Amino acid sequence: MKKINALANLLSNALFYVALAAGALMMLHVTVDVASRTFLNYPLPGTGEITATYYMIALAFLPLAWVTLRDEHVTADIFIGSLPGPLRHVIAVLVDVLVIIYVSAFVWQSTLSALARTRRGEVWEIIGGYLPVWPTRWFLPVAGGAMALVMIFRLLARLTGHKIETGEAK
Amino acid sequence: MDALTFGLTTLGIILGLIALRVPIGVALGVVSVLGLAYVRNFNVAWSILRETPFTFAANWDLTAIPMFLLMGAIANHSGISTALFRAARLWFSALPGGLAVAANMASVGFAAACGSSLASAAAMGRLAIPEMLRAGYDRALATGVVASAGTLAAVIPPSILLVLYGVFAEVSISRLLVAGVIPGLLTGLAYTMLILIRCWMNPQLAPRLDDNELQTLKAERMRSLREIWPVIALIGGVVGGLYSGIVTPTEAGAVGAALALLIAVLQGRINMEGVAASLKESMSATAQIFFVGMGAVMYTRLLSLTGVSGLLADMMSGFAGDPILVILAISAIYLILGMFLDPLGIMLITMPVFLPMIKALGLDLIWFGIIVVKYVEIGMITPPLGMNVFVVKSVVGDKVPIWTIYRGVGWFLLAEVFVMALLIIYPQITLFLPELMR
Amino acid sequence: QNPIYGSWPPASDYLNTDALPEAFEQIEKEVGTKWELISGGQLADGRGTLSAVADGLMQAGLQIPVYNPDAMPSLTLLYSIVVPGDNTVAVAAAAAETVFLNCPSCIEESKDNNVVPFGGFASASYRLMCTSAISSMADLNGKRVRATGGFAEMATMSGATPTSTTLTDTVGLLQKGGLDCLMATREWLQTYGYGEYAKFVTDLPLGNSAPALGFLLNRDVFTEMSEEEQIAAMRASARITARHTISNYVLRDEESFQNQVAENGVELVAPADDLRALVEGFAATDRERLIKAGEQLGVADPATLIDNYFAAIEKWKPIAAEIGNDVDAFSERLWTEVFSKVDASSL
Ligand code: NA
Ligand code: NA
Repeated sequence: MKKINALANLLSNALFYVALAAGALMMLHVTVDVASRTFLNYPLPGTGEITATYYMIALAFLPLAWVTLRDEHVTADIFIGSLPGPLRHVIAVLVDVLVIIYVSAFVWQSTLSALARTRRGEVWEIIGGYLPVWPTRWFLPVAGGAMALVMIFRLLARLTGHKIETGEAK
Repeated sequence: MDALTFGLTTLGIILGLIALRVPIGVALGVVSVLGLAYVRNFNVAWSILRETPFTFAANWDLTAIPMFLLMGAIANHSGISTALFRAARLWFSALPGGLAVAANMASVGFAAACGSSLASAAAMGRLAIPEMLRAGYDRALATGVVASAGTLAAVIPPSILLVLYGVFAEVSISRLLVAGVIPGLLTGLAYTMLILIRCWMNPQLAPRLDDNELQTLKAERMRSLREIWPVIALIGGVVGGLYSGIVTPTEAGAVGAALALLIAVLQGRINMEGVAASLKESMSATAQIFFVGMGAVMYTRLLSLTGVSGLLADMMSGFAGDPILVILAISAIYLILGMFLDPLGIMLITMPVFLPMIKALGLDLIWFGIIVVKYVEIGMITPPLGMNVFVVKSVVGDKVPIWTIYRGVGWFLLAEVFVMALLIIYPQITLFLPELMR
Repeated sequence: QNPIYGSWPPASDYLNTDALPEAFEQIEKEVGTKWELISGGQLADGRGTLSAVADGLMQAGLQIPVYNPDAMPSLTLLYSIVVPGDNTVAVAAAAAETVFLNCPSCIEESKDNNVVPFGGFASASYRLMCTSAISSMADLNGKRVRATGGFAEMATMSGATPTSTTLTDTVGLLQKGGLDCLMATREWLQTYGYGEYAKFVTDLPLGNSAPALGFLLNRDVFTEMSEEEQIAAMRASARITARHTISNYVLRDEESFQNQVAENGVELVAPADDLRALVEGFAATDRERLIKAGEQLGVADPATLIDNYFAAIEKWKPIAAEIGNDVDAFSERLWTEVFSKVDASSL
């Protein structure tokens, strides 16, 4: 389990750091565009489209495995806390399975979508040409796949009683 | 099955799943996919799952959410917002519930720079809640005030939601933004009154500081004002950029984040670790929020397909011609939808039905915009799907159960009843400032 | 289950209030099918419409080809052509004729996407609308102009800086000086409230563009129709083209402009000769860029497609003069000249 845990950490961290870079780049790119438009009378072509299709997609999806490993998805612990321990355990296992199924379906469908877009070479029109958009379509199955793997690891950890390490102090 | 039965059934299933601690994004997504397979077929259901997530996230207007979150996180890690809360604390601490009042007032100030209520609740939550809990404040009050006062960021300009409404309603965005100022301040005032009355009647909610401490705090008041220049610079930069036309309301988030970073660097108050921590907080929060948002949009598509617009229109048709009844019915519908949907979903479902009605009744679309945004923001704090509450919950972690936060928010909803009544009965409150612009 | 049209423009758009309801009424009268209209982007936004129609989430929608250039290269190329002058009716008709009779790749790519490209309409001729009076290239030099596609190219050639700000951002930028001009139909002055700030309209039609597909229909739905139903769908296509082009883009464009003159004091500015010459010569100079863009997108023979389109426009100019502003006459001519010659089974 320890090895799998380390792998889960590695995978979720790697994707998360790409998302952090996308966040930083988004801030810089938009700010430089504003400055360039205002002071140099030269708006950077395609800023809005690049922001929407590259940075946004990266930072919306790539952190999912990281968030999942820490069980930080938005949930409401309204009802479950009052149940007896064993029942709670069974429900938690079933919920994990449901999440794994849902995310796997998402990976399957977003892979189909990415394949179709790649074959067609999806582009968006920007001033002075076309921006290739198909590469970021792959962020979805990659991020979803990582999330599904981490979720499977969480389920294994739950079943074996392994305590998940994220490598940071809580 | 008619639209109403279908809507209620799917809602029931979603609530059931949420109660079993299924992530809310998954609960919404699963029900949407299976619901679409039920009313249409699996082709359509898979299509929604295939297309919606990318389309939802690849949206320029939504870029403001991660960027305002980032701005808030940088402001926290560099002490910019700490100074704001500190000053508010020094000035209001003598009042009953002084720290809660301070958190509320700091949120009002922060709202002038921040266009997203989630970002505001996250920023203020990290600062003010630990302070209040340390001082022995009631947990429901401490978390409730931050979740509720966060909503002010969407009413006081800049505001992502007001811009979105402007798109739908095709009204002047600049007038719309200005119209939010007084209703936002009014809400802040109502919250303050509520805190004062509650803590005055029940001092146990908020233990008062001892006299010695109060004296030292008083002595520091003037000095604290000198320390808030970074906040003033941040707000001034964002508002100035907006009103001079240099930045658009959407860009304000990114430029605000860069400005906060610049101020922090100039002050020497942030290092690489601080920047990394800010990015981590804001990007993981964005992914959490968007994961729910995608589910909510899928669910919106399902409701639309099963005729929710027709349902709303039918419900309203009995009141056609009577503006008061129409507004009351609209209020009820927003309160109900606000419980289950995210802002974008609510806007998508209601705008096509309500805007023509409001126009036909000759009511002012700018005034209606403020009413809509107020209601959508109230939806951000009502159970079970209260995004602001979720954000506060993610800040406090296991220390406070989510139900306690909702209980704290409940009191502020009481204040909202009063504010909404005033805004609806006296449209001049909203329209006074935009009329001056003409 | 009634078929559903998912429309992304706001409920108040002329397409939703008049053009589509009229066409759906006509279909119901002819074959009894009841179309349901869900507006305001509840089911899909502009970019998502193609897959939403193709996958059957909704059975029809409004498609702007340039939102999905890779999926509809030929239609995108057609849409990207700026036709000089101001002949909205002729351009709309020529686009329909080209798509259905003279552009096999337009039909082929629609089939690939599981859609039928019905109901194409043409926008009114774009105008240069600014916050200060602009008459010459010298005036326009260094100005920030909101423009897209071919018009962005035109802006660049005139020495201005084109930007692609969103429709909502635009109003604030115009007000505060972040933008000086926009190139758009005059109707936008009213619809998006730009007339408050962009008060100077240069009196020079920059050109029309087409087709926006007002009735993009799911192909499975179409092929499963009876022959009468297919004919009704094609008649509805002609009706949408005629109604939306004439009533929205010819009449309302002028009407809303007059409104803006009365309400906001919008005024006309006479163009100088150099600006006039630039616009007149634009189609010729832009040809090379269009061919390159078409090749980049994978259109087999962009030059021929462009030539066919311009030939069709010349053919329709005298007919358009006959039609004037008569929607019924336009709809009828579209039927006799175009749709009656279309073999439905080939779509
Ligand atoms: Na704000
Ligand atoms: Na809610």
